[in-house]
Amino acid sequence: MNTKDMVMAALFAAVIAVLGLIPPIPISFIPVPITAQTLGIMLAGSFLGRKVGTLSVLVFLVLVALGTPLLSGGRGGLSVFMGPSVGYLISWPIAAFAIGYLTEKFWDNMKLWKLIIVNFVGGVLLINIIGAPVMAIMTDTSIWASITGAIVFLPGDSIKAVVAAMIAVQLKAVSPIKKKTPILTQNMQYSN
Amino acid sequence: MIENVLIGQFIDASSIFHRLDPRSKLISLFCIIIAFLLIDNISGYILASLLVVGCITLSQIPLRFFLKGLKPILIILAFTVFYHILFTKGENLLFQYSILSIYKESIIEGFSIVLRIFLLVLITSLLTLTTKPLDLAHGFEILCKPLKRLRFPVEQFSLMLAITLRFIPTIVMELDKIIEAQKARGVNFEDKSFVKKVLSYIPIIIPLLFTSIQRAENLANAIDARAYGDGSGRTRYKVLHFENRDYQVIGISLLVVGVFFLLRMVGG
Repeated sequence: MNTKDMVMAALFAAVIAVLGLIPPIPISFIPVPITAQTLGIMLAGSFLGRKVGTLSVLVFLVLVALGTPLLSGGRGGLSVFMGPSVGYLISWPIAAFAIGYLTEKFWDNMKLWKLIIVNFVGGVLLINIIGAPVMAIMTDTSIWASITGAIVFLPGDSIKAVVAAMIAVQLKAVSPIKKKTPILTQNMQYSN
Repeated sequence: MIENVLIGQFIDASSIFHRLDPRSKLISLFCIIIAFLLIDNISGYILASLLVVGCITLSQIPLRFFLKGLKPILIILAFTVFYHILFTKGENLLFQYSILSIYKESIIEGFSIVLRIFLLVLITSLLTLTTKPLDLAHGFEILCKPLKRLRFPVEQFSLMLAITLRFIPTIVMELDKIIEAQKARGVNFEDKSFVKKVLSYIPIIIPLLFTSIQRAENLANAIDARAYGDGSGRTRYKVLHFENRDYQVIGISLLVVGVFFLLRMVGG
């Protein structure tokens, strides 16, 4: 790991933390407001790639565990990891890895619609598929009940997946993810 | 905000828990979590509750700071109790009305699950209420040293934690500046429809990521220019020492695990 990867992951962890401070947007017909924090998780994967993205989410979660109130709503501390929603927290680095992996795979001819699908699969489906059953196990309730409960998150999360994809596509030029076809060979083609 | 991040949930007092080494607190907490997961009968729950109440009293921290950690999970826990009362089946029928039947076992089951989560949340709050995040990070780093053998970059990770903590206030200021600048350019953040509100994240987050990348590049160059390397062999201003009380607390925690293990074996 070079210094730039390390610093990039650290700064992005700070960005995820700061996104949690943006006031949540209430939706009239759903009891769950939209927070920008999971947007940060999706961006970590689709902007930094699998390795640095996962690392930045891990740094963020360790800081939360050490007691800094960085989760949206000012929550924090190791006690969050003892509560029923621990599955959602654990799913974040996994989601960042999945999104990063798929993004790197499609990187060379990335389109907006591909990135939307990637963010939806990794950032919405995966998070709920891990988070809801863990909640069911922690409270010893039925898994189907908690998955049905997770459906209320779906509309807000889907919009976030679209927004994350729109941002990541616009920032593609400055993203630290490397192209598969090395720049050197491209330059040689020009010189020929 | 700046103080808030550096202090975390830390509440100053002069209890035994504040004076302990962060490493011994982490080790004992780990033991106690295992002990609480072993509980499977009433006497275990009573003993665990007494232990938690005792620790909270010893910590000299007002109860309301502990209750703050319980607040966000209350709705889910209430749902859990209702779920178990309505759907778990048992042998001793207490109440029946058409399809609704409530058993004695289901009430006990629901409340014991909630009680266990309550106890775990309270005892883990104790750690972050009595320790500052950076001290805890230092202790965590030393405890994780053996992971270096598995090529996990412990020192680099701890440097990353410090960078993140340092840059959160800076990025908050950056975010405020960007929001003001976009408002001056005529971006409307007060729109009623929620889709437009979510879309209004875009003109905030794109400049935020741009400036973060530039900052990261500058910082990486500065670190390399000073030949910081990967942080291994770094010396510290604050050095952690194990004292007698640290060994005593770890000993007591191991004893607690033993007691709860016995209680589970005997059954009570």
